[in-house]
Amino acid sequence: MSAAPDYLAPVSGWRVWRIDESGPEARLASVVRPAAWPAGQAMIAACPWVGFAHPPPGTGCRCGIHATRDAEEAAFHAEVPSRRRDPLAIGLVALWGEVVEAERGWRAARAYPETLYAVLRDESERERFAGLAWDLTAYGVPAGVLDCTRRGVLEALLATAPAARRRRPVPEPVPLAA
Amino acid sequence: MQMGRDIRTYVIEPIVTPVPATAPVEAQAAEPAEPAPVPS
Repeated sequence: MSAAPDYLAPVSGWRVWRIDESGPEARLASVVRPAAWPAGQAMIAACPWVGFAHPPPGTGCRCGIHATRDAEEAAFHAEVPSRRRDPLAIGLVALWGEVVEAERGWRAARAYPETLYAVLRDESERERFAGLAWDLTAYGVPAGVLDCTRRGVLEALLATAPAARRRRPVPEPVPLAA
Repeated sequence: MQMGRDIRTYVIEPIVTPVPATAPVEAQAAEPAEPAPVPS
């Protein structure tokens, strides 16, 4: 990036991940494609459109790392029936680099999780999900189990995560020293 | 995820990296990060 930045602090949004259990330890992955999120390194977006490659997130494209402004929107994505087959995580994610702000969230060039909750839906899997949450601490951020055995994801988030109760504002510009 | 209409674009260069120094470094993902939703 050669131009002066517009902001000096990342924006923070909500996001849903699939928890990938194929390796020795569980890790985050995209829910829509086989893209793993490495611990200890920023996730870097790439435009997947062959023949249309550009630095993400491009205007006129849908590429970039997605996050929603409201917890409600992310919870809705976690409740999609086709996604309930896999273990999911929901949480806050920091976004930076080039960022496209949209009506209900953002698409960004870079991202890293801030807070993670493994979504527990079945009481009989409590021990397994405690293990998944433990594995997710490898990202170096707070990680735990979101108990959705008797309530929906949004209701559980509102009861568990104070940040879910407020709408995340767009960051205000940080004044540069004269 | 469908984010609705794009509003504006900006560049964020964090002063403090959002990647915790305590996290072990793993190999970067080979696949693109995010979605290619069906164009509308």
